[in-house]
Amino acid sequence: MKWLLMITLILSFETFGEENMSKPEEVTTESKLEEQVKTQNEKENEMINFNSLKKILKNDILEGEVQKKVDTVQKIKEERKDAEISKNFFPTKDDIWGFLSEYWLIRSAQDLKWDFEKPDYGIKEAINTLFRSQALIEKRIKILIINSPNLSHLALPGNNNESIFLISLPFIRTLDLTKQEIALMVLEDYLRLEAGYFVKYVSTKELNDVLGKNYFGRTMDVKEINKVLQNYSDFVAKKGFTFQEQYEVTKKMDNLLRSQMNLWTSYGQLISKIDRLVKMNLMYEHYIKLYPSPEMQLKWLNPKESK
Amino acid sequence: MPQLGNDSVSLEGLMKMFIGLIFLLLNTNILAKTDGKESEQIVGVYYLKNMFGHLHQTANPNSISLTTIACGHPIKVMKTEKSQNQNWFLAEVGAHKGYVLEEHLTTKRPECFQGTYPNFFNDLNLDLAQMYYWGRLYDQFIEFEVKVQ
Repeated sequence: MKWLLMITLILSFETFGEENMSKPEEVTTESKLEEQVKTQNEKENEMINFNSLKKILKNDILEGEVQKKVDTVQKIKEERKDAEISKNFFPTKDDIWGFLSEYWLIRSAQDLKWDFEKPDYGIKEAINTLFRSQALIEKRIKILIINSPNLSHLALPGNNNESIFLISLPFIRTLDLTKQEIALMVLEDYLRLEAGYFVKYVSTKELNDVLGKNYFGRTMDVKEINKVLQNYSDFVAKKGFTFQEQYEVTKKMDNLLRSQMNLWTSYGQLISKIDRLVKMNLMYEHYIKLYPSPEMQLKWLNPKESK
Repeated sequence: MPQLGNDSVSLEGLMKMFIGLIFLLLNTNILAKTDGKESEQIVGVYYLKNMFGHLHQTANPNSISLTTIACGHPIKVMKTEKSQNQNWFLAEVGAHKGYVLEEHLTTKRPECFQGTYPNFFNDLNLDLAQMYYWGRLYDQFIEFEVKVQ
């Protein structure tokens, strides 16, 4: 009996032991299965997940290609914006004056009457010769003959190294000016223009502030342009040159021409003709508003005689 | 047989004459066409360099304007003519054929004010009359550069 009990006890222990030992083994297989199931799910998820796509793209160097395309599009967008900005520049100092002078001439076409048929007066050659004799070379010149006595002669600013000269046909006919005298009148106007008297009067602070600047995102103020063009008209009709400016120009002409007596004498004759005209012809009374006192000019030219 | 031979010879002759006639007709036709083309041959494509310009009916700055052209506009030039000490080009602009002053054109595409400052120029809202007068202004200008003799 004792032996039987002992055997039963040993056997029961053994089975208990086996049961105890087999339990953890069962847990590990379950967890392994779970893990296997999870990884499969994860794999499925990874197939949809873009992060996994990213990895594949990265491995295929496609991500770099996409980045390149994005960069190119960005570059094109920036270039387009730059091009659009570059279209919004206000003209520079070198480009604005020729444009403004011509625009003023267009707007004053009816007053100045420059659109008419005329013969070749040969003025070009006379001016060319005179300017060359004064070493004023590589100057671009535009001459416009006007058929109005309201403006006798004037130099307007042009673009870089360029000048626009207005000459009134009734004025040169009334005075019966020679080609040389006309050329001297143009030279005198050129000196006035070079001194900057006209530009100084017609330009505004607002205009100078915007020259060459970009106005992208804003609208261009046309009023500013109109104001400058109005100054052109006011200068011609009301303001004119000052006595001081006239004195400076006459003295410059005196210095330039004194070495060539024939030109100096011609210049004196031109001023005398103008002086007589403004004193006698009421139609040219306005001349003094623009070019004050030709009489004084004669005195400045020849001070000894005046004493 | 001899009759047959005679017949075949005359047919050959007729054929030759016929082909010759066709050749002659074709040649005269081609020559006539080339003569027509020679008178309208394009000398080159030029561009207007001024702000605006005109295509004139005759080689005279005061003749009727056929059309107003803007700076940089390409112009087909056909031949040169001299009139009143000025060189004129017989030119074609769109459907119009007329004259343009040589000094107003350039062979290379010019840098135009309108092109450099497009939005500034557009904002001015020039009307057609002003564009016309701008072209006329360049017809009336006596332009030159003082150069060393």
